[in-house]
Amino acid sequence: MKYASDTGALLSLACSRHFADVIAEYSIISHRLVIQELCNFAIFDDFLGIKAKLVLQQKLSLEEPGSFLNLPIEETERAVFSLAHEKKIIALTDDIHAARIATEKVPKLIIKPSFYLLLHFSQKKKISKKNITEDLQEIAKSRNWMQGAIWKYLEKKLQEIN
Amino acid sequence: MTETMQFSLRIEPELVRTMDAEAEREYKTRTEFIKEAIQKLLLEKREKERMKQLAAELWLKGELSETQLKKALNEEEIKDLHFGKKWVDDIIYEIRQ
Repeated sequence: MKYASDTGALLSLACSRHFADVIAEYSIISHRLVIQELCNFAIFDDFLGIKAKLVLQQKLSLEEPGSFLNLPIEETERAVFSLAHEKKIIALTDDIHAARIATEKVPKLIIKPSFYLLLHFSQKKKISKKNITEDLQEIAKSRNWMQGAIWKYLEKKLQEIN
Repeated sequence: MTETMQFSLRIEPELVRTMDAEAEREYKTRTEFIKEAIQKLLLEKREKERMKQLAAELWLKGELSETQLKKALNEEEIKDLHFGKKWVDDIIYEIRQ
C-alpha cells in the first residue's frame, strides 16, 4: 500500500518507537515542500526538531504532482493531497482542518490521520494495545489542542476494543 | 545562561516609539519588553487553547452539549471537531471488522 504524507503526519510517525519499521513496511511518498518544512524544524534541537532530523534520515521518495488541486489550504498540504489524488492513494495528514476542507471539495480524495497507519501496522504486527497507546500519547504531546482532544478520544475508543 | 538567538523584524516607527516609551516607563530594555510581551501572548494563547481542548474533550465524552460547545469553539472549529471524531469512529469501525 502506498501513501502520500505531509510534514505533520511524518513527524507524528517519527514519535512512534516503530517508526523505522513503519517506514520499511509501507511505501510513503512525499513532496519537496515537506522536506523544506522538515528542514525548518530540524534547525532546532527541541522535540520536533529531533523528530524532523529522524525523518530526514529516511530515504523518502519525493514526487511532483502534474497539477495542483484548487484548494484553500496551505501549499504543502495542497501538494501532498494533489499527489494522492493523482496517484489514487491515501494521503496522510494530522491537519484536521485541511483534511476536512479537501474532502469537502474533492470527495474522492481519501485522507487519513497518521494513527491510521500506526493502527494498521500494530494490527498487522500484533503489537500490544498498551504499546501502541504509549506511542499515541507520545504523539499527542506535541500536537495542537484539537488534535490533543481527538487523540484522547481515540485512546478511549481503543480501550473499549477487546 | 539560556542560549539566545538574534533575528530582525520590521515594525512601523510609530509603534517602536510607543513601545520604547512604555519600556522606559517600566525600566525595561526594548528586548526585555518585547520578550515579556511575547511570553504573555503565548501564555494567554495556551490558556485559551487549554479551555478549547477541555470543551472538545467533554463534548467527545458526551458530557457537553452542542449548544455549550458553541460557546467555546467557533463554527469552523466545530466542523473540524466533527470531522476528527468521524475519522476516529471510521478507523475504529474498520479495526473491529
